[in-house]
Amino acid sequence: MAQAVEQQVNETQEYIQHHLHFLQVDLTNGNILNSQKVSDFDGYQECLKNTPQKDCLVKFNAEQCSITDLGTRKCVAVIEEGKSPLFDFKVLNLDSSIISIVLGFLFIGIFYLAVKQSLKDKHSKFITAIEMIVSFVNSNVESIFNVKNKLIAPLSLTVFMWVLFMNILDLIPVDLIPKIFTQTGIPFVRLVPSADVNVTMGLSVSIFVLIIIYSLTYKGVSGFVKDYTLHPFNSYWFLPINLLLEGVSLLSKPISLGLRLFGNMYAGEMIFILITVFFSFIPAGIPLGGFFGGAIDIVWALFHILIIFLQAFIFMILTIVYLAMASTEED
Amino acid sequence: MDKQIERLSVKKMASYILLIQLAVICVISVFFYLAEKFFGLTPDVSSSAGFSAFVGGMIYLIPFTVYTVLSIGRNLTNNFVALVLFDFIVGFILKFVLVIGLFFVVFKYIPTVHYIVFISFSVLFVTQWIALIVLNSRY
Repeated sequence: MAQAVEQQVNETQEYIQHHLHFLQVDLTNGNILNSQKVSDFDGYQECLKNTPQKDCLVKFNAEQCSITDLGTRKCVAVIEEGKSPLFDFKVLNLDSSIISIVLGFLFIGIFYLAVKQSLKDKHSKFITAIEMIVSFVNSNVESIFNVKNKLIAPLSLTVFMWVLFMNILDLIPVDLIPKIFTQTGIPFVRLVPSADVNVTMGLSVSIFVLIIIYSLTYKGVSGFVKDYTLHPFNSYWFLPINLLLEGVSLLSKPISLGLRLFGNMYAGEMIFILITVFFSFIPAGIPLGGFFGGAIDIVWALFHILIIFLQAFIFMILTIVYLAMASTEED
Repeated sequence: MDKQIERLSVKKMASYILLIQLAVICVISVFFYLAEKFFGLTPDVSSSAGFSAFVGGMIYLIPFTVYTVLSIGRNLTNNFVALVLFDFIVGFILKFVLVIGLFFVVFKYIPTVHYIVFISFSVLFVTQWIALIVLNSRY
């Protein structure tokens, strides 16, 4: 009994670890992290059903999987502790990068179609929906950003739509896409790019660089320096304290912006995965876990729709607010 | 005719940005070369800081040049926006693949100081934004 429970716990842990793992390529040697290449893919899957993974790997001559082996039905997931770095500049999260780029192109494509149709004086629900989004973003920009600038509205629209598209992927059932890709020999696929801290921090650092550029453009170098040396206490005696306080407030902007989005989406994804674990609970052949998990899954998905839109909106609003602060002089 | 003039100005702007970035690579490389000479940045003598900065810059510049040539290289005589969009997407995908490939080649085969490669790459990244905002009077 104890052994069965232990096995169940291990399987659950492996399941969660697998779903939280990115398709990571080590740029120094082209290897896929935590993945091995086996001689017979289907034979290996069969072997796993009644033999420990270690033995199966030996039996099917496992070697390190390389980026060129992806999609050839050779690579399988072999997760080792401590071999999945969160921050490593030499490791690229291939899945988040590709998915986010595809979503970016999707955004461009959808808006291109809308513009094309509206230029032909066509009226449809699709164009109305796009117009609603554009006017929604535009009204927010107009109410917050008081300086005349042609970059802010397109930037805000891009940020909003891109983050929204990334977040929406969280509603796709957690097992669906990874299962499909696993069968083609791609061992890991994590579908939600906004649940990757590298993506969210990348976005927020980009906004941070724009804040600096806007501060320097609108206030000049002297205004920029004064902002961080003579605020909040307008005296040179307080220069170190001002620098410390304003420096912390400046640096906290990109960190909070990136981590807020990451935290919310990661937590949402984690809850979906934990709910899915319920499905394996089948006492005496009755799929109780399925009924219970399914019900919770629907409730959480409905609630999560709110989070998805809210987080995209917050990211966009904060971008506008930070850039507005950077481009207006304080009294 | 107006469109052709506008197109020409875009090409001119792109070539300015590429030249500015080339100049930035030279400046960073010289800076790191001098910093290494006077402050000893790299304990490993087989890799030079100046060369690493140059390599980091080139990892950005080569894909960016390919992307620029592909996305604005076509001479358009009519309003065929779909073609521009197609060039833009193909160029971007090629740029993405080239960046990954170049990083891989550099890390595996060329002895460099990795953190300097990244610094140089990041500086070039930001330079492009600044150059775009400054040169493009719309913003």
